[in-house]
Amino acid sequence: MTDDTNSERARIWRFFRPASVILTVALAADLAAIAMWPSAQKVLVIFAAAFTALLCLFLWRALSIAESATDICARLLEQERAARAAVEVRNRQLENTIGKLEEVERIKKNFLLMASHQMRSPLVAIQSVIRVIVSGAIGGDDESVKHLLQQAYDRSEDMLGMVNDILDLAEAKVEKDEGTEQTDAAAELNAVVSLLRPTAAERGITIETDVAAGLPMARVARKSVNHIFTNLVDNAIKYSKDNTVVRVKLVAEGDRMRIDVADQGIGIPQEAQQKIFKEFFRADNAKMLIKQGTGLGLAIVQNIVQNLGGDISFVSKENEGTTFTARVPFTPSPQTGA
Amino acid sequence: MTAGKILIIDDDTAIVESLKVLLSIKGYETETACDGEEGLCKAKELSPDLILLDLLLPQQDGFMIFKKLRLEANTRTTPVIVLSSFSERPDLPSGESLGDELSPDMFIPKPIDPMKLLEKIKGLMPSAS
Repeated sequence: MTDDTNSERARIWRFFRPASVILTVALAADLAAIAMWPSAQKVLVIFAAAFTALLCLFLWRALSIAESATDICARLLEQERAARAAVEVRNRQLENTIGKLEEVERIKKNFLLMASHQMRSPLVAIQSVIRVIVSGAIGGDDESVKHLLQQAYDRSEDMLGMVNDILDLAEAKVEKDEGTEQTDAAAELNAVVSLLRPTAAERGITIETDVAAGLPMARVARKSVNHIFTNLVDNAIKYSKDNTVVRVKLVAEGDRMRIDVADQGIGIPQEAQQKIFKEFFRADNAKMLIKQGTGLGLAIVQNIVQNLGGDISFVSKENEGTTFTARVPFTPSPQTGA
Repeated sequence: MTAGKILIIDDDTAIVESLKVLLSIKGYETETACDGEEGLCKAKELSPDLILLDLLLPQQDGFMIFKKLRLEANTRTTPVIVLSSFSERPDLPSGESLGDELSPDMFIPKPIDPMKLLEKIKGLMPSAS
């Protein structure tokens, strides 16, 4: 029962109580007088007493009905309030859902816009090269034609790389690891490093590895582990200064494997650090060093790692280098998305 | 004797190479720069007869480079052709104005039509007037 109902009841009671007391006293006085009065008057008095009694009864009954009515009103009010509260909660949930859907839509549009723009650039370049050749403006100079066709081919390779990255990202976003595959992370890392060592050596970059012995098998798809390791080590080589060292460490940390990849490269400028995992983002110093790039590599790694219930972070100083650290559970649990 | 000296400021190697081949076959001497900063330095240093300027450049975009070129004594009057992937002249960055100096007829859309480009270059070369 609410405070409003109680006060309503008290107000009604305050109104009827004096009236009922006065009527009861009047009835008692009438009964006392009956014995002394003549017979004709007695009939009138008895009639008056009976009427008073009935009136009393009626007033009590009215009070009781009023109380019931007040209770019903209070219950209805309470039900209405509860219904309104439920509607408000539902409205908030709907607003929340609409907000999330709008955000997803905005992200999708943004992604599409960025992807189209990124793919437009190599296409425009390829078309420009072809137009120069087919216009006949350069005549039949075989060497020039060959040179320009090579340029067009290189840009088409960039475009293919971009399409592959976009597909990898889409896969990393939606694909769940069923945990049916067992992967030897240490062996995978050694294989990745062996593959990338010759590229690093071309610029005098040495890759040093420190892999803990006896690491447990990971219940993670080999493809995912390979993607994380390849991307981090390849990035470290790409943005390293010549004749420096890339250090790769793989250890167990509780129920997770932790990989650290440290380079002595250009580093990530302070203002770019917040955006480094953002799709299509590339820091200016990275673009200056290597012109072509999709800016999707780290976004893909972050999606894979997070889908496995892990995390990825970095410390970096411009012109000194960057260390990326990824932690991935050896056995990702279904709750964490794997 | 060359037909004129042209500075190409563009970060896309395929575009730069195709322009280099096209222009050198037509007798122009070409210089290239892959970003705005390098482009400004080369423009000041080499005093080209004409500049081909891409709009989407890393760090400083083409609008900014154009403004800086107009502030330099060496390049204040150098003809500039803007290469743009936009189908029409794009909106300027908010709050900025380039006056009437950057007129729509200075834009050549990408993919580049070599004949149109050669015609425009010919018309804008100082020797043409």
